[in-house]
Amino acid sequence: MLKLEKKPWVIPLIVIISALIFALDLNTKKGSSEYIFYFIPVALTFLHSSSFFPFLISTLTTLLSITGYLLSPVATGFVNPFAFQNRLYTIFTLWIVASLVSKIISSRNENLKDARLKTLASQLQDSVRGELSTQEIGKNILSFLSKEIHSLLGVIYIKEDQSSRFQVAASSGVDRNLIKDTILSGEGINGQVIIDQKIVNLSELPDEHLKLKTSLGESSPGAIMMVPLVADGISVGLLELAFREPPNLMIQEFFKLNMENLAIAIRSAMHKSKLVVLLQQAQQYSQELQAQQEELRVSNEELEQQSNALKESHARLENQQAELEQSNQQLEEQSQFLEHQKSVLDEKNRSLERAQIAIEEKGKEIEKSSQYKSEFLANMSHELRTPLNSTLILAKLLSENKPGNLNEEQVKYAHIIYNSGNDLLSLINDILDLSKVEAGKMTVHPEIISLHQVNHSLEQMFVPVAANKKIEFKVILDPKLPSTMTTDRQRLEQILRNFLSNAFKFTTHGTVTLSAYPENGGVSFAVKDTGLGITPEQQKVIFEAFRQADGTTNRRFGGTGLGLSISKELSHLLNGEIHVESRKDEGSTFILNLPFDFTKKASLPKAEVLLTSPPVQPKQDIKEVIAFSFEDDRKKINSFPRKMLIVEDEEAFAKILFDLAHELKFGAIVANTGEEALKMASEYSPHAIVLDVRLPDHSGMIVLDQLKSNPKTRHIPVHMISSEDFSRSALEMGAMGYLQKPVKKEQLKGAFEQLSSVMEQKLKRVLVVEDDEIQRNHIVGLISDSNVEVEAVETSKAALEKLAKRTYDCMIMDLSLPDMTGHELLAKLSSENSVYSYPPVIVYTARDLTVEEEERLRVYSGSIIIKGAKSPERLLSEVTLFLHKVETELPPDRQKMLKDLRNREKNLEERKILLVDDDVRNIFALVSALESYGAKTETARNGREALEKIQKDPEIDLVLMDIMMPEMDGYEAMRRIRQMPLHKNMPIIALTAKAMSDDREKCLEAGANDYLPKPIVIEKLLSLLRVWLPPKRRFIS
Amino acid sequence: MKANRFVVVGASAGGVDALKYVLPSFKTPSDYAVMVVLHLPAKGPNLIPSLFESICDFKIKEAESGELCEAQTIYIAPPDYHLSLERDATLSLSNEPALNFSRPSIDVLFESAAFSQQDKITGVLLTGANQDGAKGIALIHKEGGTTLVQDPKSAEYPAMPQAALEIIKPTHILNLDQLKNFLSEIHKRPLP
Amino acid sequence: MKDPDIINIEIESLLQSVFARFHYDFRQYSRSSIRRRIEQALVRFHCPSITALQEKLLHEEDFFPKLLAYLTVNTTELFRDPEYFLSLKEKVFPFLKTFPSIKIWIAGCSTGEEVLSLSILLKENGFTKFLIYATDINPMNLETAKKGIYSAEVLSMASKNYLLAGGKGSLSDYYESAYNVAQFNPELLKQVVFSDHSLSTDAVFSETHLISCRNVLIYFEPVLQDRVFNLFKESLVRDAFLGLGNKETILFSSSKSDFNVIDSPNRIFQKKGIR
Repeated sequence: MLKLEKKPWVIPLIVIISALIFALDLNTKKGSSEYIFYFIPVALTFLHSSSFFPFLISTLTTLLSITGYLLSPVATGFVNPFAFQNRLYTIFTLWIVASLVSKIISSRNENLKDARLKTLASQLQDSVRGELSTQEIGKNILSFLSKEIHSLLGVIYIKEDQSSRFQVAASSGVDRNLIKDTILSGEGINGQVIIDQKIVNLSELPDEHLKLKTSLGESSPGAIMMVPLVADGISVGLLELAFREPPNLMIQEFFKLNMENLAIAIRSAMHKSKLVVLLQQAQQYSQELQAQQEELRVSNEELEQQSNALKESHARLENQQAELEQSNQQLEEQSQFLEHQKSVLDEKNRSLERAQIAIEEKGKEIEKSSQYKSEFLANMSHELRTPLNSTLILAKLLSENKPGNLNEEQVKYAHIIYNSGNDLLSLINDILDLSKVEAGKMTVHPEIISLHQVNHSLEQMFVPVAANKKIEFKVILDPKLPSTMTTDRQRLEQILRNFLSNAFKFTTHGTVTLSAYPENGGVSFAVKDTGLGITPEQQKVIFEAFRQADGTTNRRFGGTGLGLSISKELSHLLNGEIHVESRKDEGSTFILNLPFDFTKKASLPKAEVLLTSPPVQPKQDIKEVIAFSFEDDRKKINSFPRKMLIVEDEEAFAKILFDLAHELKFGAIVANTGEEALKMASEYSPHAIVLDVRLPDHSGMIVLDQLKSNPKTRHIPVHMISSEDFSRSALEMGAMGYLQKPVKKEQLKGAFEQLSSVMEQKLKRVLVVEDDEIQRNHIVGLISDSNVEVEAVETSKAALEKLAKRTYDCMIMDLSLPDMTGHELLAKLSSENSVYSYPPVIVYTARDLTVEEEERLRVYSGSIIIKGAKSPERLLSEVTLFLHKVETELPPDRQKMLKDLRNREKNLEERKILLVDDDVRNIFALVSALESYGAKTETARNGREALEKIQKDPEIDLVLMDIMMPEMDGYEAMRRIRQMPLHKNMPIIALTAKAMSDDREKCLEAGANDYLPKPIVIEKLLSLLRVWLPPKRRFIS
Repeated sequence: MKANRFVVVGASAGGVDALKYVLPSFKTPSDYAVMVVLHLPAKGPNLIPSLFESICDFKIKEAESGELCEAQTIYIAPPDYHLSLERDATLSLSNEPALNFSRPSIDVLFESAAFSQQDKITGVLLTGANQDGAKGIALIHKEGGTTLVQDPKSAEYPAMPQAALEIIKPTHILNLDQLKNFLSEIHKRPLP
Repeated sequence: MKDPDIINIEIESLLQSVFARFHYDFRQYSRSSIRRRIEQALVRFHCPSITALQEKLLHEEDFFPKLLAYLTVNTTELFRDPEYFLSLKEKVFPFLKTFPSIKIWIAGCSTGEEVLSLSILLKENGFTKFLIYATDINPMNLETAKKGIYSAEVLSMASKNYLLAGGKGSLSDYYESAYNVAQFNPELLKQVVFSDHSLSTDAVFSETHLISCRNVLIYFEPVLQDRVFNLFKESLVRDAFLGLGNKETILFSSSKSDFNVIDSPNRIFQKKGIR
């Protein structure tokens, strides 16, 4: 508030003091000069803020002093002749003092006011500083004013660019709708103020002025103040304020002092926003200019091209003339050439004729060989049936378990053997039939048969089936048919049986109808169902042997899929024909047309298969997965303390795993596809996962990869099981362990126990081996964390001691150690009969490693870090990685795994293989795989080195050759090896990343014996090695 | 949301001003995406997204390779790359040689759009001083798309729309105000 | 112009033939671009239709290499986008120094300009144990690249960009020019293995610490882009780098969570160590 401070206690103090002095004066005799104390109240007035106050008090004291003189008792016998005079002097002096005090007060007031005004002005300046828009400035000013000088209402108008209009920029305390949006300069009082550029105050306002409204009521403001905002003589705005009382002088002065500053602030904001607009415009222009420049460039180029084209066409014209002359000559030459060609053509015709004859001969040969094939099949199938039959019989006997010495499980197995055998038998029967027909060995036994009988016997056979499947079965015999026909009854029934069993197989509800009716001088047998139906594509292939329409149909419904092919062949044998009419999902009708008399062929209607074909239906998903028959724990999973997810699509094995999980007190849920596994893993968050590699939808490796890349699931330990050996890549991808099928129960149990032990391990331990103290502390500081226990040692010896006592999750080591080099330490740790634990190692060194050194180290450690600006970052990243992986890659297990891998492949023992590849990762993987099978390895990093090694080392038995290499590539190296007389028979297997099939040819051309595409599958490599490694040389004495 | 329908716009000299009319006329919500080719020099900056950001209802950005075309978005071809619309409504960029001496070329965008999305395309050809875009808009026309050509009389540089009018009779010939009206209602048009 | 549907069928059939006969897989290349290039080939080889082109392809010997030149785009220059190289030098090289030796894969190296550029920068920044694999699907490009000879016209722009890329000397230190061509110092290509490799069919051949694959992915459909990113992921060691063209990004692909962005405008990414 622009008012000066008051001290309310000053006046009473002065009055009391004056009264006391007066009383004293009254009680003393004239002549005594106590009135001199009147100086005190007068002097005290300097505490008051008004400059009139000292005069007021001096008047008061003068009066009191005179009154005191008059009323004071006269001293006896003595009258001081100067007493009165003295008083007068004193009074006079009082007045002088009063006027001095008054001066002091007024100058002090001035100072105070100035200071106050200055503070306010600077605060106001602060509130309009910064990159503000005019609106923001207006708002800031108004809120400042309402806070600091208690204006009730306020509006700020700001001049529009290049017009005499002033627009509301901000308002406070007023409803925006109630005030004028714009004012014009010179219009109304506001307008006048803008022109006059003088502050105007209005008080005693008429009623229609704006009211101050609050939720409690409304009241009129007492005064209005209009402040023009003028900068350099130009009005840029108008500030209108309302107050409860007319504003005091100080407020007015405040505005006089600051209206210019405000105006300047507003003006610069106006300039700023103008600048922003201008900048945007400038950018637009520049962009447009660029577009136009581009256009200019384009037109230039175009022009240039056109002029070139003109020149060209001119040249061309001249050239054409010359050409015309030439072409005349050419024509002559051509006619000669044509004659020559005619004779060549004649010769060609003759050779064509010869070729045709040769082709005909070939055709006959082919026919013959196909017959041989069928005959062979027919014989073979027969040979197969004999042993199979005995198997069947024995299995049946076993399953009956008459002696009662088999347990339930074993009886089940016997059943399975029996059923599978039966399936196999019917497949063999079908093949036999088919090949018999094809080989022309099937004979027909025509006889006169009763149609009624045929129908009846079929009815008898399928009624139980119909009843079983709750399907209606109708048999209709057209009365117009004769009662008999001549054909082979057995074959006819075989065809119809096949039709009917198919119909029942593919029909789940509705009707199957067998009807016989006359048609085109013959008889037609039709089997109609209301089942799945067959798409036109399928219709084309169902009669072809070994090409059932849809692999899954077969699997789902059983049968060999050969029935229709056989039926077709049989119908031909009977001089008849088969066709089918069907719509997908609407059922099918299979029709057999036969002549009444087998010996006379009926004229058959053309099968309308294609004409009646309905629109194609989308094929159903091939990979249908059938749910398991046993129920897992998913409904009550929360009642188990530990959860395990089993991912396995083979029901029997899944059940084994499931039971084992229970045995080890895991609750188990089972997924039989990769998709489901991923879903369940994130839904149930199991504590452990057992994962099969071969799954119906995608590979378990993919599932593993996705599990490990999802933050929600990556901590879960995964144990892999599979019949293929992917162990190395699985472990690299973060699997905890790997079992190869067939698996023993003990192994499984071990794996499960490992899973549970991993779950219990929590705190990570890291061993740091570094001799330099500063470095050591630096590393420790870098990786320390509440979950990590870091132990640091100085020497290899100390490190070995530590490693002998306990296991670590990760070890960070320098290469140059005082007592033993890093290489030696690592060699010691990894030696076969090592007593030390062998955690993953990070080599952290300042040494610049040679390529050979790096290669040697890579055998022990995948992470080698050279110290430098960015090395702490990388070290941290590697450490975190290992500590993370720890859950899934237990060191002791890894060692065991490597031991397990050993000695599986005797063939490779002591054989020397040269591995030529420049990829260290590849070399490492292959070397350790091959060595684990007992092979010796040599490596070369490029073709040139390979040639040197081969020449030097006669022990090398085989070469694995990469193609993409520096200095000399694989093709060149193989060519050179083949040129060496000693090694031209050296077995070479080329390794390449190329997928092109002619790449194989290129490798073979260059001299490779065989070819293996990357990424390399160890299994495949092993089988190639078995093929190409020559038998072991014997010692010849 | 993936865009259902597409507007492809081509402009050259005088194009910035014309785009100031065209691009802000698209209103949300809409199932349209817009792709724009403006001839700009290879090494220069592309200021268009930042210039138009504040005045457009649609989101505006430079197109990136492999990006799925979102509705209510304007994609500007980056300088020195051709922009194409693919069958799966993703955008692709390419460094192929300049066509009509231009990279990005309007014909490339228009032809790819006509090929991949046929009648879901509306082609808009604006002011310019060469012939780029004429063949492209003719193809859009042939494939059943809507074609809008700026009235050469209203264009700062009439050559480009003129070249198109010599080959086809477009659905509409419009001046910038009419174009603005048409485009601001375009999302209300029935699906083809 | 013919019916787009028919043209699409023809294109698919042509690409299928190219794949079946020559094992070059263009089937997942961005369709618009491949269509334009085939159309140009039609004009060049005077074929009335794509089917006619296919006929030629299958029955005319030595025709495929000619067509291949049309199916691939080779736009490249020395130190193209110098900011990219500068960023490699400043943000990637210090990290690569922590590996005892490094391997770099330039996928889609075309006629070799980028190989030379990177080789120069590596030498200038003290790398000695490095190997660059430069791969492309077009063997003819590789032959050009192996020579290291370029038209002298490009040198002024290249010199300017070399300096912008943080070059420490003068580009002329590395070449000798005569007869309007510039022969670059063969030493620069000594640590380079050139090989024919297709990102759409072939597998990873080596582990690498930096892969630079610029303006290649723009021609691939998203599915193929994903395949390529998976190849790169497989090849890159932990904490290794991937550089892409300045309009390409890994952020629309499923691999985006496996990489950190190192330099967004210059499209440099780092494979995450922890997964």
